[in-house]
Amino acid sequence: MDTLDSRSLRYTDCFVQKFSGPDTAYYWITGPVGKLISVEREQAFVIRVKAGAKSKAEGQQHNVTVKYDGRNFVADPPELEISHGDFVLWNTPDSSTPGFVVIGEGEKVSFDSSALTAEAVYTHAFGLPGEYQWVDANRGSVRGIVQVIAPESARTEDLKGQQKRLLEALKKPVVILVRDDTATPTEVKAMVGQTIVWAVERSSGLAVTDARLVKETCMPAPNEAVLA
Amino acid sequence: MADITVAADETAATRLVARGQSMLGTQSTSGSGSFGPFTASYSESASISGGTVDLIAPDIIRIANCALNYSLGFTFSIDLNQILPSFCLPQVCVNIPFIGRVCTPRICISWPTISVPVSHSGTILFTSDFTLNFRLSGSDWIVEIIIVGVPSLQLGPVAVAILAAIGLALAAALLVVPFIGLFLAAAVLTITGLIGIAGLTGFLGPILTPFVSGLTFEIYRQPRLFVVIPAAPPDAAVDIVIDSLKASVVSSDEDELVLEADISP
Repeated sequence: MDTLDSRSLRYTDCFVQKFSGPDTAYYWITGPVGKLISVEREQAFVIRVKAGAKSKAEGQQHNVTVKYDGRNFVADPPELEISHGDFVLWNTPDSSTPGFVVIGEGEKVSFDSSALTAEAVYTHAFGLPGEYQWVDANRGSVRGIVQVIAPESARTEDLKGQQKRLLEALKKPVVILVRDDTATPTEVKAMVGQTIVWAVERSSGLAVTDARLVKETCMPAPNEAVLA
Repeated sequence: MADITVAADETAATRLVARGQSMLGTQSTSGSGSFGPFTASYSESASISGGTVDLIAPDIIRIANCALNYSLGFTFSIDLNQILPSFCLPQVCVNIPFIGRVCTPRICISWPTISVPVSHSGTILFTSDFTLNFRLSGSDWIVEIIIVGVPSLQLGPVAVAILAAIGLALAAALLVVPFIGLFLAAAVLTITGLIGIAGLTGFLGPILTPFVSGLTFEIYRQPRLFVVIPAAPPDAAVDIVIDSLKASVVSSDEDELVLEADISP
């Protein structure tokens, strides 16, 4: 099933968070419901952000691979040391990994892949054609539409050639910039397999979600208590 | 010489056979079989109807163009990783002003295993000889016809039709597989090519032939004991017992199905 939902990251999704100041951040990787339960720091993964002079343009990317061992989500590597201005990308290469959320906090930073706030990115590669209306599942007003178009099904004798041309086209991302309650552009077109990038400069806590999922689920907003 | 002789011409015999076919009703069965590299679980039902009756002495009833009416449903699974090429979404890099140059990793697609349900109904005509059999079953005399040997069913046209149905069902099942778009047409061609007419014929033979193998129709049933009502009083009703019953085909001016009975008292 092709699911657009930053509250439940799958193998066709990425989450990126920039760390703009020196800090030690502890984070957890859990299922979408697991984020509602407190986890001890001893079980957390760590990002140590070093001080040092670095401009915004010089940030370096660090990759964390998310795996699932049958009971728990595992970060590889479990500890990272980065410089301030760098950013971390989380992704799983395994299609059997269940949907997950990355949540973390330090002295100066907090981040949550299901509630993007500042200097964060969510990416998704669409697998099926159609019109996808996306909304903020955390009840923000920002929203938009992604039109996904199917590539022409190749003739058997030209399969390799068309595959090569398709792969070249898929290297080009489609970017949606989000600042506060505004998404630019609000409507985009992409091909099946092309990556859509939601780059969140500033937001109250955006969860990019297929509008059909928001009507069917009753996930609470980040600050809502689960039990009365 | 028999006490009672009854004869039916080919027209009447056709009606008797039709009644026997109707009494047989619809038979159902289920199981699993293989075609090409795939295994399918199936359920099917079939009935027999129609045909032209030709009476051939001394004891053959030939039914030409008898219809085997079947309804078949089956489901087979395909691990698409064995059919489709490996496919990876390329790395995508983008410059984001407030973050930097972000590059996603290469994402390799894992193709799923899909289930393909197929249903198909149709009719196969066959011609076969049946031999007469008569017996006492409980308190009834039964005349039945039993198929001789196993008729050869022409499965080629059926296999062609089912392969087309498989192609349609496959296309529908594949449409919902993420990222398959480019490979859809090639996948359908490859999979139906792997199955082939020969593979389907090999699948259909063992599951359809049992419906005609050993085929038996009851065409006449008569209680051994029957009562003859008097024409008028003061005569009393008389109990008649059929001591023996014999059926055969006799050729004279025309071919006839003849039943001869000996009675008492």
